[in-house]
Order: sequence, then C-alpha cells, then structure tokens
Amino acid sequence: MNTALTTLPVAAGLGLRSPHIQEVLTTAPNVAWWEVHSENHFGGGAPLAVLLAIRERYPVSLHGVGLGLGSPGPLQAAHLEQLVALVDAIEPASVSEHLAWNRYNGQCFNDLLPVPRLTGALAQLVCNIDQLQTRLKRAILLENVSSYVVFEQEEMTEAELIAELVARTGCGILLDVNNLYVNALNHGVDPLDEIRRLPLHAVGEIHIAGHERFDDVVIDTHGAPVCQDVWQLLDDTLALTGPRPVLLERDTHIPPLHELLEEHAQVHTRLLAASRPNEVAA
Amino acid sequence: MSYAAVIARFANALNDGTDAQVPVTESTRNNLGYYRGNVLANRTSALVSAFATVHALVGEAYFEALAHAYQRTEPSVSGNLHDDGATFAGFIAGFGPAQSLPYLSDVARLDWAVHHAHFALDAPVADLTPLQTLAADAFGLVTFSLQPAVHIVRSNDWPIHAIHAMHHGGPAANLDTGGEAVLVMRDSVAPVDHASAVFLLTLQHHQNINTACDAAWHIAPDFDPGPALSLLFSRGLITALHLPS
Repeated sequence: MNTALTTLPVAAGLGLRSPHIQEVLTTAPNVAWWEVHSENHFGGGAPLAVLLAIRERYPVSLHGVGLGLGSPGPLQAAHLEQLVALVDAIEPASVSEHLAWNRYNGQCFNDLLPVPRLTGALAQLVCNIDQLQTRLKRAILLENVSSYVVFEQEEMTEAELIAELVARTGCGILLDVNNLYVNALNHGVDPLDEIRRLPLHAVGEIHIAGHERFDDVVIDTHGAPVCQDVWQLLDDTLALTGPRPVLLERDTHIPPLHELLEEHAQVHTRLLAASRPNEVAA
Repeated sequence: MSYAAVIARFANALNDGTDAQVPVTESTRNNLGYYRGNVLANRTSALVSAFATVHALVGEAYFEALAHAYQRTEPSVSGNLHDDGATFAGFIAGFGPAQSLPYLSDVARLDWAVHHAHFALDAPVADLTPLQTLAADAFGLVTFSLQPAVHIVRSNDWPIHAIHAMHHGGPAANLDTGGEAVLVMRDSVAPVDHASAVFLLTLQHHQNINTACDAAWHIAPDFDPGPALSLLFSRGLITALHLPS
C-alpha cells in the first residue's frame, strides 16, 4: 500500500455517527480508527470539539459527501475552504471523497450522483481533483459509487476511469465493495473484474456496508448489516489487494454501538485471515 | 453526447421529471426517480433537523409537505446539507397554507439562528481589561465584535422563546402574551426584552455603546444597558474591543 496516500492503520475502522460520539468518548472502545463525514464537522462548536476529542485518542478519516468532484465547473470555494480548515484542525490519517457529481448551473443536488463516463468527464475530474489536492497539500482517496442507472454509450468502466484518475492526479482509491456488489446486482457488473482493472497499490482503504432492496432495484442505503455475499467479496478483495484499512459503514437505521462493534469485530477477524494467506481455515 | 450535456439533462430531469431526455438504458430509466426521491428526502431530513421546533409544531406530514413545497421554489445552493434552509422562514411567511399558523415564520427564524449557532465558527474571547481603565465618556464610544454564534431574533407579535422552550421540555406556551426577543448563543438561548434586543443588535452591527443605548431608549425610555452588557461580558460573547482613539 502506498503510504503517501493514507496513514490509516491496516486494521478495522468504524463509521462514527453522532448518536454514538459521547459513548465512544466515555467508553473508548477498541476500534483502530474512526471515519466521519467531513461536512458534519465543518465550522466550530461542539461538532468540531468532539471530533478533536476523538482525534486525541484515535486516527481519524475525513470522508466527504458534498464536494461533487464530477460536477461541471470548479469546486465550491466555501465548501473547499471549510474542508481545508477541518483538515488543518484534525490532521486526519486520510481524506476521501466520492466519484460523483452534485451541482449543475448553480444548483446543488444533495446526493451522490453517478458520473456519465463520456467525453469530458475525465478532464473535469482531473481538474477538480487537482484543485482539491493542491489546496489540501495532500492526496485524497477517491471512492467508487453505486449507480441505479446505466448511461448509454459509456466509454469506459468505472474502474477504468478511476485507474486513469489515479495515473493523472496521483490520488488513491477508496474501494467500496458494497457499491460494487450493488452495481453487480443492478447491472450485472462483475465486481472482481472491476477490481482487477484498478491499480491495486493505490487502494488505501476499503468500505463495506449493508444495502436494501426496493422493488426492482438494490439501494446502497448503509442501513442494514453486511450480507454474506459482501463479506465474501471482502475476503476475495483482500486476497487481491493484501491487507488494507477496512471500514464498516452504517448511516441509517443506526443500531446501538455494541451491535456495530460486534459487526466491526468480524472485519477484524477477516483482516487477520487475509494477513495469513497461507494458512488453511479450520 | 458529451458528459456535460448528459449532466445538464440529468439535472433537468431531477427538477422537472423529463426523464425521457436522459440518455440512460431503457431498463434503468425508471430508476432516475430514486435519485429524485433521494435528493428530496435528503433535503427534507436536513430541514427536519434544522427546524426542530417548526417540525414539532406542525407534525411530520405537514412538515414534509412544507419542505417539499420549499424545495420546488428554492434550489439547494450548497453541497453541505447543514447550509440548507437559510430562506425557509421567509418562504413560510409567504406560503399560503401556513397563514393559519402566523407565528410559524418567526419560530423558523429562531430555529435557523439556533441551528446556525451550533455550527458557527469558534472565536477567542476578547480581553476586556482595557475597559476597566476607560473614562466614562470614552466608554460610550466603544464598539464590539460579537461571537459568530450570536444571533438576536425578535418577533413583534409572538412569544417565540416560550414556543421554543415548550418544544424543549418547557411548559405550554400562551400565544396571547405578545412578541418576544431571544439572544441565541452557542447551544443555548436566553429571552431578552425588546429594548435589550435592539441594543444588542445595534452593537452587533459595530455601532458604539452610545448609539446602541439611543436605539434602545427609543423603545423603552427606562432601558438600562447594564444587564445586557454583563450578559455579553459574562458569557464570553465579545471577540474584539475597539476603543475610541
């Protein structure tokens, strides 16, 4: 793993959500690192203060959901400057964002919208990732997203686009295996084929999460426990990449912390297994 | 079609449902609706958390209808959902179906101030010792900078502090008690009389103490600046002093 991309421990992390922050500060659970949504800690006051308190005890990953790197035009200056201020204050082990867009013509669409992989996308993404990395004075990790639509006449797969972006901007990869799995269910993408198209040395972090089915489409809600197929895909991914920092995410239907910690312990177990590839499982 | 042209069509479809114009496969075209729903739900959920008192007053279904109407009129302008709702109070004031709840817009202004104060930037508290040696006539010429978290919210007609308190564990509010003013600080609020509110607002606009007193005396001839000033001093709300030269 390229340590210029992230200094996260190669261990199991957990997404930190506001209902659990005080309990984490009080009980200091055995979690190797925490990831938060950057925007939830913009500005000052308690949101920043609690994150500083977490940071005193644990490595922290800042994971952005609102910069919209694939939007046409430059990044929103105010958003970028708030992220810079947060990164300066927290000194995170990792900074990541999504391969998604959220703005057009001055209007924001607050979601992770899929980038059409057509002429012009690569140049715009390179421009925005360069702007972000230059301002942050560090590399970011770029996360693959789940998509519920397939654009016509796309010129490359998402992994091929990410590989180009890694080559041109020096960014790293946040590989979300649940998103790949959701795309497999919705569109027949082969997750391992996609992973093999990535420059695996640039994978600085892996995400796993749960998803939910609605009628005829599977949505990446981060609102359910990780399913057996995604655990298997994590094992297969780790076999290709070697051990990596792995994060368990849960954003909706947030259970009590002890339940998440139990699921988190499974990540730890699988990472241990991945770091002993020559041992046969009992 | 270029990436930029497809994004333009996708954006239009999110706004007006022209899904047929978006070059996606026929089998996934219906899923554009999931994105439309996500955007609407994400903003609605952010508004629920920013406008907790309004939400408690009108209930889930009414709030959702209000939030959806707002989103049709006011596009989001920030990628940070915590920024959404700056114009919500003004929207409510002009929203026909909300006219039967005439206090709702003023309550929304208070909610927004509380929300903003929670996330506002930190600033160091000013050293106030230079005030102690200032001559009485010079004291009136002092101006202040206040904490970014400080807001002063006034309602001419409605007891917004009592309504806010009612939905944060306080007793039932009596709507007939007239207008109230509220000093909003980081994660706390304090009711103030209208003259004090005008005094604090004037100071917040970097006018000096004499000017702020004049504005307050216009409202209440017996106004005493002492309690409002000691609130500013004791709660650490002043970030800079500007002494007369």
